[in-house]
Amino acid sequence: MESDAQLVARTRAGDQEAFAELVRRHSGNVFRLAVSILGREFVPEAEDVTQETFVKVHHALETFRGEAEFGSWVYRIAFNRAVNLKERVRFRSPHADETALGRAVAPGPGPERQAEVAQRDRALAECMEGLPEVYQSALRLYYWLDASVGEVAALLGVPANTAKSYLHRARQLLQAMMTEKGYNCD
Amino acid sequence: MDAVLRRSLAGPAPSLPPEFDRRVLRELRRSSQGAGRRGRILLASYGVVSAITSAVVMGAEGIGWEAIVVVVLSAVALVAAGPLARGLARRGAGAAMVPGRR
Repeated sequence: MESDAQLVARTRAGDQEAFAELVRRHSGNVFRLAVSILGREFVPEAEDVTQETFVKVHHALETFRGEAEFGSWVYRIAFNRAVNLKERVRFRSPHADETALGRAVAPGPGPERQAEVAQRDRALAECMEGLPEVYQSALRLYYWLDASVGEVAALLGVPANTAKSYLHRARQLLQAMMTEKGYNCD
Repeated sequence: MDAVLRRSLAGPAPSLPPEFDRRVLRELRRSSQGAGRRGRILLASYGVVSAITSAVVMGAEGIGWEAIVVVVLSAVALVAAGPLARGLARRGAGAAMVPGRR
Protein backbone atom coordinates (compact mmCIF):
# COMPACT_ATOMS: atom_id res chain seq x y z
CA MET A 1 0.00 0.00 0.00
CA GLU A 2 1.27 3.43 -0.91
CA SER A 3 2.09 5.85 1.90
CA ASP A 4 0.35 9.21 2.23
CA ALA A 5 3.59 10.93 1.20
CA GLN A 6 3.69 8.94 -2.06
CA LEU A 7 0.05 9.76 -2.77
CA VAL A 8 0.72 13.44 -2.05
CA ALA A 9 3.62 13.38 -4.52
CA ARG A 10 1.43 11.74 -7.19
CA THR A 11 -1.35 14.29 -6.55
CA ARG A 12 1.15 17.11 -6.99
CA ALA A 13 2.09 15.58 -10.33
CA GLY A 14 -1.57 15.86 -11.37
CA ASP A 15 -2.86 12.35 -10.54
CA GLN A 16 -6.45 12.87 -9.35
CA GLU A 17 -6.89 9.17 -8.49
CA ALA A 18 -4.10 9.53 -5.90
CA PHE A 19 -6.02 12.37 -4.32
CA ALA A 20 -9.23 10.31 -4.37
CA GLU A 21 -7.33 7.63 -2.42
CA LEU A 22 -6.22 10.24 0.15
CA VAL A 23 -9.87 11.35 0.47
CA ARG A 24 -10.99 7.73 0.97
CA ARG A 25 -8.33 7.21 3.65
CA HIS A 26 -8.99 10.33 5.69
CA SER A 27 -12.56 11.49 4.99
CA GLY A 28 -14.10 9.25 7.67
CA ASN A 29 -11.88 10.73 10.38
CA VAL A 30 -12.31 14.28 9.08
CA PHE A 31 -16.08 13.82 9.17
CA ARG A 32 -15.98 12.38 12.70
CA LEU A 33 -13.90 15.33 13.85
CA ALA A 34 -16.24 17.85 12.18
CA VAL A 35 -19.38 16.25 13.59
CA SER A 36 -17.80 16.04 17.04
CA ILE A 37 -17.32 19.81 17.00
CA LEU A 38 -20.66 20.74 15.42
CA GLY A 39 -22.82 18.24 17.29
CA ARG A 40 -25.22 15.62 16.04
CA GLU A 41 -27.86 18.16 14.98
CA PHE A 42 -25.51 19.53 12.30
CA VAL A 43 -24.56 16.40 10.38
CA PRO A 44 -25.16 17.93 6.88
CA GLU A 45 -22.90 20.85 7.84
CA ALA A 46 -20.23 18.37 8.98
CA GLU A 47 -20.41 16.76 5.53
CA ASP A 48 -19.90 20.19 3.94
CA VAL A 49 -16.94 20.88 6.23
CA THR A 50 -15.40 17.55 5.20
CA GLN A 51 -15.80 18.40 1.52
CA GLU A 52 -14.49 21.96 1.93
CA THR A 53 -11.52 20.65 3.92
CA PHE A 54 -10.42 18.39 1.06
CA VAL A 55 -10.92 21.13 -1.54
CA LYS A 56 -8.75 23.43 0.60
CA VAL A 57 -6.20 20.64 1.13
CA HIS A 58 -5.96 20.12 -2.63
CA HIS A 59 -5.41 23.83 -3.27
CA ALA A 60 -2.85 24.07 -0.44
CA LEU A 61 -0.98 20.86 -1.24
CA GLU A 62 1.97 22.83 -2.66
CA THR A 63 2.52 24.41 0.76
CA PHE A 64 2.52 21.04 2.57
CA ARG A 65 6.16 20.35 3.39
CA GLY A 66 5.68 16.98 5.02
CA GLU A 67 7.06 18.10 8.39
CA ALA A 68 3.87 16.88 10.05
CA GLU A 69 1.94 13.80 9.01
CA PHE A 70 -0.52 14.41 6.19
CA GLY A 71 -3.42 13.24 8.39
CA SER A 72 -2.55 15.65 11.23
CA TRP A 73 -2.33 18.52 8.76
CA VAL A 74 -5.74 17.67 7.28
CA TYR A 75 -7.34 17.27 10.74
CA ARG A 76 -6.00 20.68 11.81
CA ILE A 77 -7.58 22.31 8.74
CA ALA A 78 -10.86 20.48 9.38
CA PHE A 79 -10.86 21.47 13.07
CA ASN A 80 -10.41 25.16 12.24
CA ARG A 81 -13.12 25.08 9.55
CA ALA A 82 -15.58 23.31 11.83
CA VAL A 83 -14.95 25.75 14.69
CA ASN A 84 -15.40 28.71 12.32
CA LEU A 85 -18.63 27.24 10.99
CA LYS A 86 -19.88 26.58 14.51
CA GLU A 87 -19.44 30.26 15.31
CA ARG A 88 -21.65 31.08 12.31
CA VAL A 89 -24.38 28.47 12.93
CA ARG A 90 -24.51 28.90 16.70
CA PHE A 91 -27.77 30.85 16.57
CA ARG A 92 -29.34 28.93 13.71
CA SER A 93 -31.97 26.33 14.55
CA PRO A 94 -30.55 22.84 14.19
CA HIS A 95 -31.89 20.19 11.78
CA ALA A 96 -32.95 18.01 14.70
CA ASP A 97 -32.92 18.52 18.42
CA GLU A 98 -30.00 16.66 20.02
CA THR A 99 -31.96 15.54 23.05
CA ALA A 100 -34.89 14.42 20.90
CA LEU A 101 -32.51 12.25 18.91
CA GLY A 102 -31.09 10.87 22.15
CA ARG A 103 -34.57 10.05 23.43
CA ALA A 104 -35.49 8.34 20.20
CA VAL A 105 -32.67 5.84 20.59
CA ALA A 106 -32.85 5.35 24.37
CA PRO A 107 -36.41 5.43 25.68
CA GLY A 108 -36.82 5.36 29.46
CA PRO A 109 -38.97 2.95 31.45
CA GLY A 110 -41.93 5.27 32.14
CA PRO A 111 -43.22 8.65 31.01
CA GLU A 112 -42.17 10.40 34.22
CA ARG A 113 -38.70 8.90 34.17
CA GLN A 114 -38.44 9.67 30.45
CA ALA A 115 -39.29 13.31 31.10
CA GLU A 116 -36.66 13.44 33.86
CA VAL A 117 -34.02 11.89 31.63
CA ALA A 118 -34.92 14.22 28.76
CA GLN A 119 -34.67 17.23 31.06
CA ARG A 120 -31.29 16.09 32.37
CA ASP A 121 -30.06 15.44 28.84
CA ARG A 122 -31.13 18.93 27.78
CA ALA A 123 -29.28 20.40 30.76
CA LEU A 124 -26.21 18.32 29.92
CA ALA A 125 -26.32 19.47 26.28
CA GLU A 126 -26.51 23.09 27.45
CA CYS A 127 -23.58 22.59 29.81
CA MET A 128 -21.54 20.95 27.05
CA GLU A 129 -22.08 23.98 24.83
CA GLY A 130 -20.35 26.02 27.54
CA LEU A 131 -17.18 23.92 27.39
CA PRO A 132 -14.16 24.81 25.22
CA GLU A 133 -14.36 23.34 21.70
CA VAL A 134 -11.61 20.76 22.26
CA TYR A 135 -13.35 19.41 25.36
CA GLN A 136 -16.70 19.14 23.53
CA SER A 137 -15.01 17.45 20.62
CA ALA A 138 -13.14 15.01 22.87
CA LEU A 139 -16.35 14.09 24.74
CA ARG A 140 -18.40 13.51 21.58
CA LEU A 141 -15.61 11.53 19.92
CA TYR A 142 -15.19 9.31 22.97
CA TYR A 143 -18.77 8.83 24.19
CA TRP A 144 -20.79 9.17 21.01
CA LEU A 145 -18.50 8.20 18.13
CA ASP A 146 -16.76 5.42 20.08
CA ALA A 147 -13.26 6.73 19.43
CA SER A 148 -10.48 5.40 21.64
CA VAL A 149 -8.26 7.81 23.61
CA GLY A 150 -5.57 7.25 20.97
CA GLU A 151 -7.97 8.19 18.17
CA VAL A 152 -9.16 11.28 20.07
CA ALA A 153 -5.51 12.29 20.49
CA ALA A 154 -4.73 11.76 16.79
CA LEU A 155 -7.78 13.70 15.62
CA LEU A 156 -7.14 16.61 17.97
CA GLY A 157 -3.41 16.56 17.23
CA VAL A 158 -2.31 16.14 20.85
CA PRO A 159 -0.47 13.41 22.79
CA ALA A 160 -2.62 10.63 24.31
CA ASN A 161 -2.03 11.92 27.85
CA THR A 162 -3.34 15.35 26.85
CA ALA A 163 -6.44 13.77 25.31
CA LYS A 164 -6.97 11.84 28.56
CA SER A 165 -6.67 15.04 30.56
CA TYR A 166 -9.13 16.81 28.19
CA LEU A 167 -11.69 14.08 28.91
CA HIS A 168 -11.01 14.17 32.65
CA ARG A 169 -11.20 17.95 32.87
CA ALA A 170 -14.32 18.06 30.67
CA ARG A 171 -16.09 15.56 32.97
CA GLN A 172 -15.05 17.58 36.02
CA LEU A 173 -16.36 20.81 34.53
CA LEU A 174 -19.62 19.17 33.42
CA GLN A 175 -20.11 17.66 36.87
CA ALA A 176 -19.69 21.08 38.49
CA MET A 177 -22.07 22.72 35.99
CA MET A 178 -24.71 20.00 36.42
CA THR A 179 -24.47 20.20 40.22
CA GLU A 180 -24.98 23.94 39.96
CA LYS A 181 -28.15 23.25 37.94
CA GLY A 182 -29.35 20.87 40.65
CA TYR A 183 -28.57 17.52 39.00
CA ASN A 184 -26.71 14.75 40.73
CA CYS A 185 -24.47 13.00 38.21
CA ASP A 186 -22.30 10.88 40.54
CA MET B 1 -20.53 11.49 35.17
CA ASP B 2 -19.01 8.83 32.92
CA ALA B 3 -22.22 6.74 32.96
CA VAL B 4 -24.44 9.80 32.45
CA LEU B 5 -22.40 10.88 29.42
CA ARG B 6 -22.43 7.35 28.02
CA ARG B 7 -26.25 7.21 28.30
CA SER B 8 -26.91 10.76 27.19
CA LEU B 9 -24.62 10.76 24.16
CA ALA B 10 -25.51 7.24 23.05
CA GLY B 11 -26.94 7.03 19.57
CA PRO B 12 -26.15 5.95 16.06
CA ALA B 13 -22.96 7.45 14.70
CA PRO B 14 -23.50 9.23 11.38
CA SER B 15 -21.35 8.38 8.40
CA LEU B 16 -20.49 9.90 5.06
CA PRO B 17 -22.52 8.95 2.00
CA PRO B 18 -20.95 6.36 -0.31
CA GLU B 19 -18.86 7.69 -3.21
CA PHE B 20 -17.91 10.74 -1.15
CA ASP B 21 -14.47 10.82 -2.81
CA ARG B 22 -16.16 11.23 -6.23
CA ARG B 23 -18.21 14.11 -4.84
CA VAL B 24 -15.02 15.82 -3.64
CA LEU B 25 -13.36 15.37 -7.04
CA ARG B 26 -16.42 16.82 -8.79
CA GLU B 27 -16.34 19.82 -6.44
CA LEU B 28 -12.61 20.23 -7.09
CA ARG B 29 -13.14 20.29 -10.85
CA ARG B 30 -16.00 22.77 -10.46
CA SER B 31 -14.02 25.09 -8.18
CA SER B 32 -10.87 25.02 -10.33
CA GLN B 33 -12.91 25.74 -13.48
CA GLY B 34 -14.57 28.66 -11.69
CA ALA B 35 -11.23 30.00 -10.47
CA GLY B 36 -9.70 29.63 -13.96
CA ARG B 37 -12.59 31.52 -15.55
CA ARG B 38 -12.36 34.29 -12.94
CA GLY B 39 -8.60 34.53 -13.51
CA ARG B 40 -9.01 34.79 -17.28
CA ILE B 41 -11.71 37.50 -16.95
CA LEU B 42 -9.51 39.44 -14.52
CA LEU B 43 -6.46 39.17 -16.78
CA ALA B 44 -8.42 40.15 -19.90
CA SER B 45 -9.95 43.18 -18.10
CA TYR B 46 -6.50 44.24 -16.91
CA GLY B 47 -5.14 43.90 -20.47
CA VAL B 48 -7.94 45.96 -22.01
CA VAL B 49 -7.66 48.74 -19.38
CA SER B 50 -3.84 48.94 -19.75
CA ALA B 51 -4.03 48.99 -23.56
CA ILE B 52 -6.57 51.84 -23.52
CA THR B 53 -4.59 53.78 -20.88
CA SER B 54 -1.35 53.35 -22.86
CA ALA B 55 -3.04 54.42 -26.10
CA VAL B 56 -4.51 57.54 -24.46
CA VAL B 57 -1.19 58.49 -22.80
CA MET B 58 0.79 57.93 -26.02
CA GLY B 59 -1.81 59.89 -28.01
CA ALA B 60 -1.50 62.79 -25.54
CA GLU B 61 2.29 62.70 -26.06
CA GLY B 62 1.75 63.31 -29.78
CA ILE B 63 2.61 59.79 -31.00
CA GLY B 64 0.78 58.85 -34.19
CA TRP B 65 -2.12 56.31 -34.05
CA GLU B 66 -0.30 53.92 -36.41
CA ALA B 67 2.66 53.72 -34.02
CA ILE B 68 0.31 53.31 -31.04
CA VAL B 69 -1.49 50.42 -32.76
CA VAL B 70 1.86 48.75 -33.56
CA VAL B 71 3.12 49.13 -29.95
CA VAL B 72 -0.12 47.83 -28.38
CA LEU B 73 -0.42 44.91 -30.81
CA SER B 74 3.26 43.96 -30.27
CA ALA B 75 2.63 43.82 -26.51
CA VAL B 76 -0.46 41.64 -27.05
CA ALA B 77 1.52 39.39 -29.42
CA LEU B 78 4.28 39.00 -26.81
CA VAL B 79 1.75 38.02 -24.11
CA ALA B 80 0.07 35.53 -26.47
CA ALA B 81 3.40 34.03 -27.56
CA GLY B 82 4.04 32.42 -24.12
CA PRO B 83 1.01 30.07 -24.00
CA LEU B 84 1.32 29.44 -27.76
CA ALA B 85 4.95 28.36 -27.38
CA ARG B 86 4.04 26.15 -24.38
CA GLY B 87 1.23 24.53 -26.39
CA LEU B 88 3.57 23.85 -29.32
CA ALA B 89 6.22 22.41 -27.00
CA ARG B 90 3.60 20.13 -25.37
CA ARG B 91 2.39 18.97 -28.79
CA GLY B 92 6.00 18.30 -29.81
CA ALA B 93 6.64 16.30 -26.64
CA GLY B 94 3.40 14.34 -27.14
CA ALA B 95 4.43 13.48 -30.73
CA ALA B 96 7.86 12.38 -29.53
CA MET B 97 6.21 9.96 -27.03
CA VAL B 98 4.16 8.22 -29.72
CA PRO B 99 6.21 5.19 -30.86
CA GLY B 100 7.23 5.19 -34.51
CA ARG B 101 6.61 8.90 -34.95
CA ARG B 102 9.49 11.22 -35.82
